[in-house]
Amino acid sequence: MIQFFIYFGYFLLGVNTLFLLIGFKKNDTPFKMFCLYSISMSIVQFISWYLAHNHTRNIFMSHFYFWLQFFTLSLFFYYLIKSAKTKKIIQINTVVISLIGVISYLLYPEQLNTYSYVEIIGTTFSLVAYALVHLYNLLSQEKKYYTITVGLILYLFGSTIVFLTGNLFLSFPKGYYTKIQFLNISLYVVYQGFILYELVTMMLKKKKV
Amino acid sequence: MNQNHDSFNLISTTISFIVIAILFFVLVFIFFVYFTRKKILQTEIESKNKEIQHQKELLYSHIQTQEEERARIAQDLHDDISSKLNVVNLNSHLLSSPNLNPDEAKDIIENITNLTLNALESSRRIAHHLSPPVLEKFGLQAGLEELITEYNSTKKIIVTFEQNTKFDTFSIEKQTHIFRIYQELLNNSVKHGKAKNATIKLSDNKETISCTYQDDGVGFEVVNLSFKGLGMSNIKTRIEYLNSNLEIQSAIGKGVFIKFELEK
Repeated sequence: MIQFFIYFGYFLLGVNTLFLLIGFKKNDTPFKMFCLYSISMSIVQFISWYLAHNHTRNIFMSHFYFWLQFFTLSLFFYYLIKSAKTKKIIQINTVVISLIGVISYLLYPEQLNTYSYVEIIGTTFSLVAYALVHLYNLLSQEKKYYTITVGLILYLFGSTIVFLTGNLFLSFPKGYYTKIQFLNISLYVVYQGFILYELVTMMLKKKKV
Repeated sequence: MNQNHDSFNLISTTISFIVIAILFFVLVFIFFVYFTRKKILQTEIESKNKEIQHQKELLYSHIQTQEEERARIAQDLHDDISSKLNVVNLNSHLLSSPNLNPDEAKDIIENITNLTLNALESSRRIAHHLSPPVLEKFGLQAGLEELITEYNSTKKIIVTFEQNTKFDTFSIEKQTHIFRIYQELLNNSVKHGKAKNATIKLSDNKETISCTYQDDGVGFEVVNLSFKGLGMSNIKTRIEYLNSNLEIQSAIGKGVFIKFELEK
């Protein structure tokens, strides 16, 4: 069952990345940034899957996952949000969070082989805040990237809790970790479904125009 | 012992971060809901204010229309009827002159008769303009046909009329609104559009009636069109009353195409 969900999640991610690549040239900068995010996530997922397939420990890939997610989605919201003040805040926050990340790795290099709490909290909290600012702005604007943003908040909310328990569950026998991971994968499938829905809606709208 | 200590340490760290995460999400959502509510209320107030402003503009435009109409009627009465009645009055006084020969009396009587006939014709014309009797008696089609005949007789414009539908189900009030819209459009075509040809088309679509108007006048840029002028403001109000939407296509030198759909 869990295997099916994992591969279904990969499938949806692949389909979404394909749609994003098809529309890359014709769409605005936030779309291009989201495409970049999807591509980087596909690569991270593929390498993680390959390592797991060869029975190699792939926890260190989580750092690539969190930081790539943070940078690409920060760029996505940076281009999506119109307010110059918020853009400045995104710029400063990206530098601050990155510095905190680098310092914490220098102080505690053993974190590279585990989930990093600072990394999870710093990157996901920032993204949730950006997403909520965008939703707030949408109250008086055209509902652009609305479904994607709602999906992202839902996913980040669940996955943050799951990843924060990661180190604890890794110390348990394997079955327990798989159970908690199932929740994360389910949320990921729902999130990819939200992205697919928005992309299809965008495409149908353009065809109508 | 040491392993137990590590395990407890891991559990307490994990729980601490989970609590921080949940607190963050709860706080952020409380702020989000608070600011969202505030913004929604603000947007609603803005939209209501706009609505009030629009109503005020409509009311002002109605009052202005009423005043202009009164001034026009007063002008017509003064120019066409009062002046003639004055002359009739003078002529009547002349009739009572003591040394009036029969030929002079005959001329005066003839003059009075002509003037009263003219005044009668003028009063009929004014009444007709205020409310065409044909429209009330025979409906929109007859009213429009009469209006078109009037315009065609001026030789300033050639108006073509095509109709394949009936307005029997429409109240006389609604038919009057449609008539006034076309009257205003024709007036605009002659006065501002300098059009030579115009077409009025009323066609039946299964559930709606499509009303179109086209002329070959000077046209205008639709983006520059404001509904502040009396004529267009009147058309807009009547269209709103008819629960329809006005579609306007025009460009400089390309005439005007106007369409509105009416539910049967």
